[in-house]
Amino acid sequence: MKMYYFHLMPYRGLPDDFRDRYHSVWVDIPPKLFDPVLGGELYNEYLDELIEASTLGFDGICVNEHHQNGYGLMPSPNLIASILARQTKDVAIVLLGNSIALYNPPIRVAEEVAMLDCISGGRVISGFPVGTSMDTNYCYGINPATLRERYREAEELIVQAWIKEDVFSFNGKYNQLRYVNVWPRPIQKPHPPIWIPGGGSVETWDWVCQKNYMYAALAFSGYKRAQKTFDGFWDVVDKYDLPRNPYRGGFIQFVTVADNEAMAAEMYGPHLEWFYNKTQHVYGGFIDAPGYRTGATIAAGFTAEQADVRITERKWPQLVDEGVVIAGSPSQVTEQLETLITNLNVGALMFMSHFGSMSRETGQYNTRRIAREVIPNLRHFWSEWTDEWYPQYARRAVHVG
Amino acid sequence: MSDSTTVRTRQGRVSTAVEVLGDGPPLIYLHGPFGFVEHELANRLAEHFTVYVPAHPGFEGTSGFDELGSTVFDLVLHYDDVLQGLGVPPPLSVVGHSYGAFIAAELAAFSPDRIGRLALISPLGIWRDDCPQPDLFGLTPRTLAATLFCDPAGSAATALFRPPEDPVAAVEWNRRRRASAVGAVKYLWPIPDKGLATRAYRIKAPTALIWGAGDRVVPVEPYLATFQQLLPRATATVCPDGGHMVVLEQPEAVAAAIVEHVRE
Repeated sequence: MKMYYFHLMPYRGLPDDFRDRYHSVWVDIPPKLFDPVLGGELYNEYLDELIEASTLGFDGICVNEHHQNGYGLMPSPNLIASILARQTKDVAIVLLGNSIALYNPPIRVAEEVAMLDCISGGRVISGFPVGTSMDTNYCYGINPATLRERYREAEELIVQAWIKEDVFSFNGKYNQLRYVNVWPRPIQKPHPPIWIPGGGSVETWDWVCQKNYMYAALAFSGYKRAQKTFDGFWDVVDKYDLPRNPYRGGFIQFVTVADNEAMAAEMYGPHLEWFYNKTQHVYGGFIDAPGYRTGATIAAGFTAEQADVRITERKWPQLVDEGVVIAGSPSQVTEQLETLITNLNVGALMFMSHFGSMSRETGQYNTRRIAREVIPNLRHFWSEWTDEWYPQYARRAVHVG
Repeated sequence: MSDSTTVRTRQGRVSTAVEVLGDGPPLIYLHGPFGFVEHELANRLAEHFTVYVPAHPGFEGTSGFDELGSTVFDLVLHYDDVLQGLGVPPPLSVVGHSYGAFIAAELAAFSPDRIGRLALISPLGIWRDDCPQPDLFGLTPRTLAATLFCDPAGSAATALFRPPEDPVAAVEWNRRRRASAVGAVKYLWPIPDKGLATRAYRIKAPTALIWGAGDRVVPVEPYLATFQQLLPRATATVCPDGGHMVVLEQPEAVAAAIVEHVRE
């Protein structure tokens, strides 16, 4: 079993009455709400947390890409990853990832990931998300009707640029390049492992299987609701006659550890509620531009259409009941995670142990307890399988603390 | 007379349903971004003309949408194919509303000799940074109604946004509405200006500009004057008590302005 530490890098400085006063946390959040001095402090604090996580026994640390929002402060995951590539040893650096349809030309991503692979000594995992509708359609102005085609073309171009040993030309619909020649080259051969972060787009499952990539479901709705997603995904894996190797699937989960449930509620409850009530306050019109979701996905019931009312008011007890957060003593948390791992059949578990308005101390406390008292209990899962989607030169740090 | 025909283009890979109404000289009517909903206006025009209403690519009644590229050139090429397929001889009278007016103006700029008379109602196609237009595709249904109509509580507004009561029909209604939006998004995203201002000098057809005084999408001030600068000989009609959906709110006045212009 592989376990990863995932940081969203939230903007902790949102005012208490943010939801009442402002239209949306994403796309048109007022620029004046960003305090650059606080921003600098947060970046450095969060980098410290990622770097510490790399020494605690996690198999990797994860960063991602979002734009124009107070939910996650990484417009460029590669900038953060470049610091981590230099400042960490051993573990995988997981880019979840670069929204490749946004780059013109996308070989920029091929180049930067190759740089990161060199600097880190071959420890990079390259995620290729389509990106949310907010990020891609509204912030970066990409046409929803052509976003997925553009994405597929970018993936093809990047992978070819990594694999081909000669300069080649690429005559795409969206990219015409007379001389494709990525310098530097990635250390990992034929290329760094590719993870495809997804919500619930049904065509993605087919595509992931055709390409033999890893599917990382990055929904924050918890493991109980994710059952439908993974049932669908593993059915598609069967359809392609591929082995149900659990390492083919990854899932992200809020996890909190304390002495008992009451202490967890007290310590972490306000921060998760902050996460929902502030950073999920996205104007309904920005959720799902017409054409962003394919007809097949809408038909499969995974739609999140533009709506007038979006319910973001969530309370801790409900979030616990729904499995959005797993909370309690180490043994209670272990037991629920065993259920998650078994039911979803996943070999990559991404822990959200710092979230929302958490202070450095609270985040550290939670992350350290997870690393010391939960992760070792789960390590034994799936030892009969080979993880084909882990970097060739990465390994978990042996915990000494 | 009301009929419909299907035009097949691109060697049969793309098909387009065209509604045909009335009798008289031909008139092409290009509907707005919400599908063909302006039936009263069309019926009034049909008293004077044979009105052809093609469904826009991606909208209900079309297939092969993915065959078409996403640039304005692809869109104009498609309409060139459709008009040839209809077999109506040029010069043609072309009337468009909103998204349809954008297409009509681009057609007239690309093929100036094909278009004999042009009427643009609440046209999209020009963008001024000093007067940004609301994002038709980034508005929730309630805000959209308030943006599109002079009177958002009026019967025209409620009829456009009220799903059928039967749940099965409501799902189908929603699917159609969504498909229309995807069709329009493909050619209008993210800003409904694809360079018309640089080509408008090519338009030869006498043009009527028709506006709702309360248009909140393409406000009369400053957009009517902007279009008039590009088309100096164009006539202008501003209908009171009409918003961007003036074709639904003031069909009688809009029809009268079109008839007068086209029959001149």
